[in-house]
Amino acid sequence: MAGPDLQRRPELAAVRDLDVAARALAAGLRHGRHRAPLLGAGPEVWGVRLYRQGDDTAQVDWKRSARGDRLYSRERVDASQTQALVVVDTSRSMAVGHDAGAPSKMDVARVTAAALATLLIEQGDTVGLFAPTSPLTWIPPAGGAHHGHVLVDALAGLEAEGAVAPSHALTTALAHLRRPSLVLVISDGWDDAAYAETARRAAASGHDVAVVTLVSPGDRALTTLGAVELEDAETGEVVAVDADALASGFAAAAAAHGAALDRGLRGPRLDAVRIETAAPLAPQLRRWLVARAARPAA
Amino acid sequence: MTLQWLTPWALAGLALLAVPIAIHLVGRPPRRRVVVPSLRPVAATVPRLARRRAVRDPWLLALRLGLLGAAVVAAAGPLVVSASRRAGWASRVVRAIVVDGGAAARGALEARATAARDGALASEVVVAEPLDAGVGRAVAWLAQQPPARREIVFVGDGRWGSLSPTVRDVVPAAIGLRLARVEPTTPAADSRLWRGADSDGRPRAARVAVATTADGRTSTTTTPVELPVIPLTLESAGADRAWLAAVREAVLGEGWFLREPPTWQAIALRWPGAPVADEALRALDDADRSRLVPLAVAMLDGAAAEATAVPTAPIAPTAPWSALGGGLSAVRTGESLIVRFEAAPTPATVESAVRAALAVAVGQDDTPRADGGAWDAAFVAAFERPADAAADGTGTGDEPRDARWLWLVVAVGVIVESTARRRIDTGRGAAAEGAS
Repeated sequence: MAGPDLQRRPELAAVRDLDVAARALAAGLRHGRHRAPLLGAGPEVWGVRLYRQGDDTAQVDWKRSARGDRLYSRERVDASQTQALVVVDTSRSMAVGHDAGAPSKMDVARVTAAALATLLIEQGDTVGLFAPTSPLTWIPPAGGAHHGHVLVDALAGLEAEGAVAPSHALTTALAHLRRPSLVLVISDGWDDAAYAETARRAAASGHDVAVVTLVSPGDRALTTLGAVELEDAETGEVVAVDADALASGFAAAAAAHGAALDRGLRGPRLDAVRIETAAPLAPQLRRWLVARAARPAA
Repeated sequence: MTLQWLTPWALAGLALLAVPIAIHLVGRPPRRRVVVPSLRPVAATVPRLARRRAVRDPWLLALRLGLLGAAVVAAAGPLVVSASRRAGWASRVVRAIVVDGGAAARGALEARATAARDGALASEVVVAEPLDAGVGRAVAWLAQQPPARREIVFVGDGRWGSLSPTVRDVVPAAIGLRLARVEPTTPAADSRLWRGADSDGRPRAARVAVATTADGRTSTTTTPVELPVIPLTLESAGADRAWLAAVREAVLGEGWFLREPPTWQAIALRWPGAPVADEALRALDDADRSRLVPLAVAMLDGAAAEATAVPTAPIAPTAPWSALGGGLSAVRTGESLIVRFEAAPTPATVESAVRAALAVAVGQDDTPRADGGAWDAAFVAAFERPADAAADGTGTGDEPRDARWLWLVVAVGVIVESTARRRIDTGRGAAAEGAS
């Protein structure tokens, strides 16, 4: 069976058959599926907007309207079906940082996104895909087995070739959503503070945001020694360094960056998990989903 | 105890210490390019990185600096001057021997010069005429010798004007001066080749042979090489032979026979108490006679010279006597020259005096020998001085022992540096391979 092998070497799955790998991984995760973003069966207020002709007067937010001279209507959504959007970071840093024996972050991102999307679709939810590629990869949320294949095919075609920051990608993706959704962000988090800030803002606006941060060995420490030239995958900037002298400082700075990112990704409706690309993927995802299911509702 | 440098200019090589420092500071080894997700951790570490680069391989740098410094110091020739070493230098002597190339007694001079080499750590013979001309070479040679007392020995016949007393002031005070006088001998027969130039500047030469007959007559024959024969006959009583030989040496030594008119002149020497050389004068043809300069040499003191003047041309001096130094004076009257001695001279003094007198006679009294003195007792006492016993070790040195240890350290250091460099390179290569 290809599943276990592909879980150990998901970068091979990206080449051979991402769909198979995703299904195998989803099957392993099924008992720990995610918690629905919107609990309860009734309609839920999503937001307030200006009154439009034809709106039911029962929807008018009289309290809000009393504070001004215009009428406002409550916008409600049907929460009987979860809408999810998978946002995949395709910046160039996703292609580097791996080591011999470990897949690239982009490979892990593809498998993770495909597995979670498969899991959501199999439970009847709708799933969309956004990636800041050129041209833009945007697949509106939909359900069904066929849509699942469309998503997996699109994921298989993603390459870490862009230079768009995850925060900007997330902001753009959220603009496509018309209702509260489960937003799955998959990135390595090498961005400025706006990344966590954007995620917190999305959670504050009603979305259930889950951030999957991929960490490769190269993100934790320098994987080379001696006199080298380090090239920034995002900017192309090159710095000549003595890796021997830099190693401890680099590791400390990387750890500090990770800690700061973890602190920034805390908040209501905001869930974050770190996935080590050098470690087996399934156990990490399973632990996260179990913990997520046990999390109290926001 | 002091430290001296045998080649101090080599210390300028310490500037080379900047080379390894520059290599360790700005030198960049070949680098591999590694793509990292972000340079943000690197940027956070830049200050520490800069400090680390400043002391890259500090032990290797220290080793290289030490190696280079030791090599430069060794090349500069360090010399630890201890009391015992200084005493050792003072106990030995290096000697430059300046031999008078114009003196007649060459054999005796050479023997004396050879003898002067005895006991010297190093010696050098310089032949010069006059002796003054060899002083520069002697001082230069002494400056190149190992630490020791230094002295110059002048070997000559001590004739008038062969050594200027001003030499004493020219030679560095630390260098001792000694005079080694060799009594001139009268050869039974002598033959010299004189050289000169004619009025057109063409070289001319003549061989002048001087012979002394058994009865005390001295005859000179000049073998024409390119010159006409100039006869010269000197007559004297037997008792005056030594003086007469000195006069002959003076005349020949000055090369009068090769000088073109008006300075090229035949000379007749008249000698008190001796037959006048009328026969010789008669043997001359009219042309030669017209160029004759009668020269009277009065070997008497004071007024007696005037009283016993040349019989054929009584001397009636109208000009004051010219002081020639060394108790010698001269006066020219008509075509005659009278040389007067204040005391009975030695033959060497006679020769020097006649040389000076001849220079006056032909209007060439600016000859550099005119101010020289004969090597009499007063001259010797004023001229000689001992070598400075406090030898300071200057010179190229013959004691490289102090530098040998440094060279040994350098050799060992080179091996250590090579080994350390290989280990560092090997370690880096293995680490890089392991990391990649």
